[in-house]
This record gives sequence, C-alpha cells and structure tokens, in this order.
Amino acid sequence: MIVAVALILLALIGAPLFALFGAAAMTLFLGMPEGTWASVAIDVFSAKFAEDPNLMTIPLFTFAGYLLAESGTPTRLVGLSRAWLGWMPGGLAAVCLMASAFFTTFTGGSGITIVAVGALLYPALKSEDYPEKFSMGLVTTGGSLGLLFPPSVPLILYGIVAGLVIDKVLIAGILPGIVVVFVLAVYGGLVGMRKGVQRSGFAMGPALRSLWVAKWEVAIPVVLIGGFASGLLRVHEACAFTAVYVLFIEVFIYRDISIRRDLPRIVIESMTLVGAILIIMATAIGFVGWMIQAQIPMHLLAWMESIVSSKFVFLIALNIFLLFVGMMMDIFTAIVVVVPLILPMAEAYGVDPYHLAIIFLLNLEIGYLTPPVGINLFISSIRFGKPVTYLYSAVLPFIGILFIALMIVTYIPAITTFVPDLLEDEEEEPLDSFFVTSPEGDSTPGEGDDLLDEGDDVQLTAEELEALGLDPSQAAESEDGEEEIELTPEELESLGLDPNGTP
Amino acid sequence: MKWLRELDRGWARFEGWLTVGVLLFMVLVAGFQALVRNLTRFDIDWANTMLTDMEWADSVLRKGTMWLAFLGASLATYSKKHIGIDVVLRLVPVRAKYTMLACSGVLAGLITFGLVYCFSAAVGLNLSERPLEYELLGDNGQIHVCDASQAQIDALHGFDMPTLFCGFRAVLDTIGIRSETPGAAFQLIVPIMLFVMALRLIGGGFAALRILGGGPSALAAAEAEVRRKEQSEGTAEAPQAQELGTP
Repeated sequence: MIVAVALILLALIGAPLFALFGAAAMTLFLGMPEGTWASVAIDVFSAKFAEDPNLMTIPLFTFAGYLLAESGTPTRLVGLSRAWLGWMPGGLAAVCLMASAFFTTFTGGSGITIVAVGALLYPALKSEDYPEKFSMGLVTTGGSLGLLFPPSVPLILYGIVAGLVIDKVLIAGILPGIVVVFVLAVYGGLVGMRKGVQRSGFAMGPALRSLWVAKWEVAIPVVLIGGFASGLLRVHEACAFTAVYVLFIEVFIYRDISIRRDLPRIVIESMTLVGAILIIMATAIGFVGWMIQAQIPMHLLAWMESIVSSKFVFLIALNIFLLFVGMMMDIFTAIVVVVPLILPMAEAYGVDPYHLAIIFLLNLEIGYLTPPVGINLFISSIRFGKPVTYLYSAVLPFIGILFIALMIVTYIPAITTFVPDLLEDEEEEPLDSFFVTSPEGDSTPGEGDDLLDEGDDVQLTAEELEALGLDPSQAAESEDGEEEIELTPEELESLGLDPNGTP
Repeated sequence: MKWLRELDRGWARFEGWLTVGVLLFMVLVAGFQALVRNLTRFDIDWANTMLTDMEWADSVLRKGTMWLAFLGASLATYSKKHIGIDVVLRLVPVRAKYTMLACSGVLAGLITFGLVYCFSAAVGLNLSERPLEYELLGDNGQIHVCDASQAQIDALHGFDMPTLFCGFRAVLDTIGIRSETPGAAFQLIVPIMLFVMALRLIGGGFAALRILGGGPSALAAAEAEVRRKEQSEGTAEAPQAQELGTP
C-alpha cells in the first residue's frame, strides 16, 4: 500500500511511466515467495514482447508516418482534399478532417498531426471566416482523428496485447473510423452554413491536377486497405511495403527528404517515440504478468458480474471507465495495462473482441481531447500560443460529437464486425490446409533446423486430416490467423512424425 | 560538468547513428523479404529458393525491433521525451517544478538501476541456455559447436559452422561474457541501454538541483530554454534530434 502511494506520488511529479511500472513489477514479484530478480524481466524476451513477430510493424509504420509528416505530403494532401471537397458546406473543415485522419493513421496520434496539418489549416480556416474557437477545436480534434484506420499503431499494439489477428483488427476499424469522420464533417458543414462561410466551386481540371500531384501518396491507403481487404497483404508485408515505398517516393520521386540532411533526424525522432512507447510495454509486461498471476482480472469480473447483469449496462459502464482512463493515461500505456483487465470481462458479457478494440480506441481518441490532461490540448496550446483553458472550451462541442459517434459504434456492433466477419467467411470457404501442432509447444519453435521440435507446425491438407480420422471443423484459429489442430503424441506418430524430435 | 555533457552528447550521437543503421537495415530486409514472399505466389523458382535462404530474416527483424525499442528509449531519456504525467508540472510554480524534476529524476534513475539488475539477471539466464542445435558430442561430453575442433566439424557432413556468431562469441568471451546462442547475445543491448538511461535520469535530477541552487535567475533562464524548445518543436523542428542527426 505504501509502495502504491509512493508510486502514484512519483507519477504525479512527472516520473517516466516505464520506471513506475518497473518499480511496481519489482515490488510485486520480489514480494512473492518464488519471485526472483530475473522473473521481473524474463517475459520481455519471450513471445510477449521481443519474439512477437508483429512488434516490428510499430517502428516501420511510425517511421513511414514521420517521413510523410516531414515531407511535402501535408501540403499536397490539403491541396487534394481542398480541390475535391472545397465545394461542400464546411468544405475546408472536411479537408482538415480528411488530412488529419490520414496523418494520425500513420503517426498514432503522437501530436505530429496538429503540428503538420493543423498548423497548415488553422490560418486557412480563420481566413475563410470559420469561428476561431471552432477552428482551434477542429485542428485539436484532428490530432487524434484516424486512430481507427489501418495501419494505426495503437490498433496494432492493441492487437498484440489482446492476442488478436492483426489484419482483422486493422480492417475492423475502417467503418467506425468513417462514422467518426462523417459525424464531425456534418458538424463542420452545419457550422459552415450557419456562419455563411464562402465555398469554393468545384472544377474538374484543378481537381484532377491535384490528384496527379499527390498520386503517389494517395496510392498508400488504397494499396493498404485493398491489400488487407483482399487478403493479399498481411500486416508484416504491409509495414515493409509502406516503409520502403514512402522512403522511395519522398527521397527519389518528390525529393522532399534529403538522405544526408533529413533522413537521420527523422529516423531518430520517430524511433525516440517508438522507444518511449515500447519501453512502457516492456516494463509493464512484468506488472501485467503479476496482475494475471494474482487473478486481478478474474476478481474484477466477479465484482462486475455482481453489480451489472446486462451487456447494455456493461457497455455504458465500460465507456465511462474508458473515458476516465483516456483522461488520465496516454493511449499506449492504457492499451498495455488496461486491456488485459477488461478482456475477460468483455468476453463474459459477450462483447466481440474486435468490437471491444474499437470501443476502447475510440474512447481513448476522445481522451486525447478531454480536459484537464488530454495531450492534444497541450500540444495545440503550445503550437498556437493559446491558454489551455481556452482549448478546454474550444474542444467541448467536438467531444460531444465524438460521444455521439461513440454511442453509434458501441451499440451497433455490426459497424465494426461486418467487414471482419465478411473476410472470415471468405477465408473459411476454401479450407484445404491446416497446421497441426504437438501438445507441449516450447517458446522458440524450431528456428531453421530440419528437426520437428515440440510445438512445431506441420501443414496438412483437409484430405490428409480426414484420412487420419480428424475433423477439419475442429481446427481453431491461432494468433497468426492459421487454422490449427493440436495433436496427441499418438496422432503425431501415426503421421510418421516423432513427437520427441526425430526428422 | 561540461565534459559529462559532452560525453553524453557523444554517446547519444553514437546511439543515433546505430539507430539509423538498424532501422534502415530492417527496412531493406523486411521490404526485400516481402517482395520475395509475394513473388513465390507465382511459383518463381529463384524466389522460392531465396525465401528459404532468408530464414534468418524473421529472427533478425525481431532482434532489430528490440534494439530499436531500447535505443529509442535511451534517446527518449536523452531528449526528455519519455511518456509521463506532466500536468502537475505545468500547473505548479517554477521552484516547485524543479524540485519535483530533481526528485523524479533521481528516484526514476534509482528504479532504472533496479531494472538493470533484473534485466541483467534475465539475460544472464538466457545466455547460459544452450539448445540442442548448438551442441556437439565431444571427447569429454557435450560441447558448444563453436568450441568444436575442425575434425569434429568435418565429421558432421553438411554442417554449417555459425562462423560469424562464433567470432562474436569469442570477443564476448574476452570480456567475461559467455553466450551460448546468437539470440541471447543480441539481448545484451537491453541492460546496457537501461544502464545508460539510469545514468541520464539521475544526471537530469542533479541538473534540476543545480538549477534550483542557482536561484531565480537560473530558474528563469531554464524556463526560457524550455519555452524556446517547445516553440521550436511546435514548428516541426526538434533541435535535439537535429543535432544528433548531423554528422
């Protein structure tokens, strides 16, 4: 108890959160009868962190996002959106929303959107007679808009922590993300009409020219979303493609980034953010591991079940809790610490895990703006030289609008689950190969050797499984999206494979 | 104290270049692997062969990510960009703010030293683990493949000696670190970077104490510097990183 109070005090005086999680893990593990110094850290080198193949997507996508932000992409994107959307009521507000969503998608709401896009659009919004407070609220809201679109880093991190299929999490966010942008665009349109903001006319020539100028960048979301939706692109390939492609177009085609002058700086800036995120994840693993060993999520579930009986009420309680979390914690810490706590509860109340992911992130998206400590408020305050209290009142209408979107996304789960379910059905149709695995998998299954280790996968066709008397429908989907069936040693032997490691 | 700052800056420059090298290497490897993997869909023979030859890539990419995580974390300590709750710091008077910074820096540094010990213990365990594929039956029992004689290697037809790792292992051996697998050797970055972070955090705490000791003029100068940095970052320039990135 004394340690908990000390850590809270330390958090309040600004100590880095990774140190606090580390201290909590050390105190809790060393207080256990079998706890050792090594047990605090050993999981960091396991599939929970260092050996997780999805983790590399975080540095690669973040690097691509920073490259885009530092290049001429914001200008080209704003030009493009303006040419195509400027004729609408609240056209420039919609431009701001679209451009911000694009950027936040790649930079994970790190505040860079407010700097890169907001700084470009705030003067333009004011010059077109949008109210100052509205303009300020809009660019501040834009700082976290787009977290639900692929390849958002918080979505990937959520998928890793919750053990979900990353490709599906990324796809799940698209429709809810569109809902959020749409309701905000409607609000922008209403403000534009009420204030009599002048609209620019639509001209096909300049619109096509702006599309031609930004064609290389426009291709990125098209290829990514198309690739995920068609199943042609898995997340590992997507992050590699994005990083190489963005590096190539910004350095060699647009020539916005100089290899010698800009590239090292951008790498360092982006990896500084990645390091700040991943060190929290690494140190929180020990803390979360202790929570799970101490069955904290199960105790919480029992408590929740004693006071809440319906899924409807649970979702209300969840939203209130997550809004509070969003106010107090940054998104990455919240994902690492809070997700393991709420996952069993959501499962018990029948909430789809992908739906939960989107509810979680949308709440935290709102949390970025929520007074008193929403990080976007401080970034805007510094960037535009406004008092934070001014920002509080500027973002309030936007928080209200986002709350409406949150209610829509929370209580109409189909908005989230429709596309992933569609893909799942498509994937299940030609089910003709399975992975079988021996019962006791080790943590580092066969790295490049020819021997069959415990836990190694062997691919079989449906016919081969049926020939063994196994039912292909019993295959369960593993974390990497493969259909897996666990075999007994006897069944492995009947396949001609020795479960003890013979070729 | 100036030499300490110079040393810190030099080390940060080294970390910066290492980070650049690791990330660009990862981008190239991951990009090439993704390209080859997609070509295998079209049953191109050389692509199939190349993908098989690139089995090491996944493991290297995972290790590279771990390196980036801890190099980045150390750079975040250098440029004071760690994620923390700073709302109270923004609201309190300047003197209280620097008192808090001094306390949090020193205490976080001490905690990080504790983490260095935990991670060293965990890496130590991993370093001592020898999986079967790195073991041979020698004259006096099981030996590590790197310790095998040429005759013992020749006796294993078709066995590829991990020459690069064995060389690296020999270098580590000279400084008293025995690594049984390349994977474990890569993990050494973690306690090293945590150690650097601990020193930087404590150094930051003492720097805040010095500012406090300098009286109102030192506090005002420090605050002006903070505001200048915040403003320049607000215009998409990060002076710390820029400084690191320039050779």
